Amino acid sequence: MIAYNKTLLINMALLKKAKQWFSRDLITTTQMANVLEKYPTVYFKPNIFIKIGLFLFTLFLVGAALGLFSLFSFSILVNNNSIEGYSIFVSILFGGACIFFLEKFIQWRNWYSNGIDDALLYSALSFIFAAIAFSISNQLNDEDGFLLLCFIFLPFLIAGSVRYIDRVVTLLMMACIYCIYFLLIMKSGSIAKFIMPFAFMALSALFYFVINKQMALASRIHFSGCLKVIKAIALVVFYVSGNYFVIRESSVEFFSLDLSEGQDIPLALIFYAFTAFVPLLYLFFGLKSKDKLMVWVALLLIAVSVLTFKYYFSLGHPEITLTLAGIAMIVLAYVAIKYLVTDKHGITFKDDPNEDNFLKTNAEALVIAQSFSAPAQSSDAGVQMGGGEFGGGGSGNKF
Amino acid sequence: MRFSDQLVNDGILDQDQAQRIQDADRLKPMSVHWELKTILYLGILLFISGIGILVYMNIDTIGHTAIIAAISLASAACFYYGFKHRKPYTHSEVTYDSPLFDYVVLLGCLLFGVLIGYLQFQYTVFGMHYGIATLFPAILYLSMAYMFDHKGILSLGITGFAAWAGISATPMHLLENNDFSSLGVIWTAIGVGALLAGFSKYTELKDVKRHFGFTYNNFASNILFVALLAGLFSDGYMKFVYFILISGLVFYYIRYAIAEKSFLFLLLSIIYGYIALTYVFFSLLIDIGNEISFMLGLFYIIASCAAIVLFFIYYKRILGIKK
Repeated sequence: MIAYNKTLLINMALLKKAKQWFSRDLITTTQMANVLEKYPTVYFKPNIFIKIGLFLFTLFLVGAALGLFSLFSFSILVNNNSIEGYSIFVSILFGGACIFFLEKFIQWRNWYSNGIDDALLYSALSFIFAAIAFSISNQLNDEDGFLLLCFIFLPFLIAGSVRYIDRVVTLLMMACIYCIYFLLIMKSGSIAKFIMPFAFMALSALFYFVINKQMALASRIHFSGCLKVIKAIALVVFYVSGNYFVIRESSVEFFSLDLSEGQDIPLALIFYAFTAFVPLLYLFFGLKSKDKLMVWVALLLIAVSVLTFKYYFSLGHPEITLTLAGIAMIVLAYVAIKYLVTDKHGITFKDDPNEDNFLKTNAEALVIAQSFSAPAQSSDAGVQMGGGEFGGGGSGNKF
Repeated sequence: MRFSDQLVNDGILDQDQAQRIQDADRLKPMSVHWELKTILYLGILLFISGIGILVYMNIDTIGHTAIIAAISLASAACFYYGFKHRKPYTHSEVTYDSPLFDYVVLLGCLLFGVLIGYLQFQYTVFGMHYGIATLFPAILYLSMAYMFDHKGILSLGITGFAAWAGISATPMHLLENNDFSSLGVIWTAIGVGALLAGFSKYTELKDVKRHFGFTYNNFASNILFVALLAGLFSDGYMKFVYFILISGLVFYYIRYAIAEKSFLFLLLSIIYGYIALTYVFFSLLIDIGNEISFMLGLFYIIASCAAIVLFFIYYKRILGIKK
């Protein structure tokens, strides 16, 4: 089912664990050496920046190949009314070629997540998407056409996320599923607006519990990244489907609800409570079950909830709100740090020793520069030299 | 099957130890280190933005003296804390046990920046010498950065220094806020970048705060590459000079990346170098300007992208680096 070499994947996961144990002095140096010898992970794993470079230039390569092929074949294969067929043909050809090379590279070179395979996978899926869109292009102008597109594309997304255990494809797959779900419910007519929030909550809850079960199975270890993505999306969508702002604005947008001054949506109080308490519940359970992912989702959603309430109950003084919110966060973080200097309830402030810190500390410095730096003073030194064209003309169409 | 059991089967671990590892994994506390630091950092960001607007809005009212007094006091308190807990300066990296230290010092510096801006605006303490009003905080930031060993404040100092020279060095605004069609801006940027890179190289040789190298060179490389590319793109007889300079810079930063194992610079050099090469190649093609030149261009992109992909895969072998 998985394209990548399974032994390699298992060895990688095991080695990661072993390194954690080693850094916490749970196993000895000799044992670590034995593990390294017994579970080799010889494959091409570039540094993150090199991975980005490989990803970018593979995409350029695919794009240029497409351009060159079209240049040669267009005039030969196309007469007046076959442009659509030609587009479908080229899309399928290139999608197939990308998949072919992807599979072959994985087989020959034992590649895993080095940027090239990601680029080939995303290109392949884009070509498949284009092929589908071209073939049903005359139906695409209404909701049914879009539903059809999602339906045909979904199997490819599922296959892509399972076979290449890719998190981005998993994310797209989830988006596709929720789109289909939304459009199907919309088909139910006037009842749709009453059941929509609850239907979305139900589906997300279902995803959440199924995924939690799956994650506990040892045989799902290869998919843990993808499962985490699904879990995070389920948590977010569950919250969003009961968020006051979303309910109110989508009622106006999709169900032509007419709200005059002073009126409120039905069940407003329940949705207010939902908006306020669900993120806090997430935070509580995340901390309780030591679930980092849930904690992050909770922190994000708390910010969203604050913004939601600000939107409807603004005091009209954003600068005071900003200052007070800043003070509140500083105090909160300060108190929590002081409190957690020694471990409490299985939570600690101590940094995980086995995480790579270089990127974090340097990234922090850059973020500081980005958010606080002074604007450049207007220079008086400029004798304007004419004729310079920068950006658009220079670099725009070179790729 | 759990990994620890698997290792027992292999005879690498014994049963007891596997049990201990499983217990340790179960009981291991969850670290919320970066979560709390993020909240703290965002808090400072919101607070400073709020204070900035607050000062700006109350600048003509009676309340401004109170606000200024409060900001001065807060800034002074932060610096007092900083100097009290400061460790003596050394040329090597100094780390502080207290996680709050970095943030308190940063807050102090930022508040000081707000204060200077206000004083200049309201009382024009630096008179018409606007340059000094930007240079003074920048110098203060730079010295504080060395004193407290703080990369964030160092970045503030560098952007402040560049702002004094007339360049917006902030990563996201590098292209947006600078008018690179002006030759003056281009050569100012080149000067600033060269100074930063040179200073970093000098301190590296003298073994002074080597871990600041990344911050210096990150600003320097981006400023230099963008300015040189801007020079290359503008019409003129200097094109050739700019191209040579870019090639030299690519060479310098590839070597730097390998020496420091800082592969961001490898990526940056390749991308900027590729843009320059592609520009020159296409300028030549346009000069030729017949039918096959477009096809040649496509062939060039395919061949060059493939070459770069191969370079990234085999860069260790190509550059002769051992693992």
